[in-house]
Amino acid sequence: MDVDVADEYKTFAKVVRISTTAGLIMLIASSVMYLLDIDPFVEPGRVVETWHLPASKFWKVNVGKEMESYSEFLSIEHPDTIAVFSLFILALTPVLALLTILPKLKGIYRILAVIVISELLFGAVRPLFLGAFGE
Amino acid sequence: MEKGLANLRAAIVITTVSIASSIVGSVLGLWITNELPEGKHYITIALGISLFFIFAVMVKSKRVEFPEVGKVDSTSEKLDLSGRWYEPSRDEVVEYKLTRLPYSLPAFAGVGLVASMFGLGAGWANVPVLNLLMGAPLRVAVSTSMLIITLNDAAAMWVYIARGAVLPLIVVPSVLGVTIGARIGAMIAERVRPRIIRLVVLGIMLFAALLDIEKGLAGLGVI
Repeated sequence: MDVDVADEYKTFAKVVRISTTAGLIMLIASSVMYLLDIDPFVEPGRVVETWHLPASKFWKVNVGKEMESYSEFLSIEHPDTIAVFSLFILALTPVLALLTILPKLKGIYRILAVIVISELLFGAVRPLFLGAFGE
Repeated sequence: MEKGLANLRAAIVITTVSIASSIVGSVLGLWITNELPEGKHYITIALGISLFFIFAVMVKSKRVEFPEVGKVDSTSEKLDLSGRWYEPSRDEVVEYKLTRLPYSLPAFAGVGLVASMFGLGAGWANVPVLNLLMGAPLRVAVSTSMLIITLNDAAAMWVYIARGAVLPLIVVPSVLGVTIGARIGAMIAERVRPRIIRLVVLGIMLFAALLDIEKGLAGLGVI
């Protein structure tokens, strides 16, 4: 027996289901390519040897430079980078879901949803203009 | 959410505060890991000890499965943080109201900060705040907590992606495990008795407390 839930609940759930499924398919496909050693950005063996290092040192040791502001995506042709990009899509899922239900929300909830969307987007763009540590 | 278990309204209100604190927490987490590697271990131990206290409070609390909410504060009343779902163990539709929002928001802010600092997940603290403080039935608290975590973590993870701190070799199996686990968990959570949910929540809290203390002590080289 189900209870009647508000329209925005159903829509939110539907968008989350579709977006996470898409992100997961991309994640699995790229991971299989990576594990089959098809043109990785950093060889899996090297990752295991150096994963204890802080992020900045890890990249210096493995590719000769640090990663800043999503610069890893400049090497999007490699399957391990595509795997990270699929996480990017998964992280955008709540934004998509909230944007979809925004017209259905009323009063204060519409304002609060706009605040949540802004916070999520701020979290995403912040590294582009403030650096990872906010400096 | 389609069954009425996760309270989207409550999640939207709570995440306005907790996302902001998770963004700050993720920045602080990276900074501490890079600049003060030992600081992270002390905070992990402190978190484990705090979890023990929350665990003890939940063990002692009665009516955790279906808390009785008397007077609802005016903010929660205005925001209409109520809901209902079909409870199979009672074979009836259960209606509930959430309360004490003004006291809960600072708690959620603190949880978001600490959880995103070290990628610890926040279910261990969201569930007790929703259940013990706001009066959410345990089943609703668990479902709403998962929704809050989804929103919070989505905000906190950008800084790690931007910095290249996400290694597919580690993240991919864990994301797949979490996703499959979450889908199975959601299916089971609908049907299982609230008493079992309570035991599982308590078990996870105890395990997480022990794990945090062990991780912290191991990080400091004590054990």
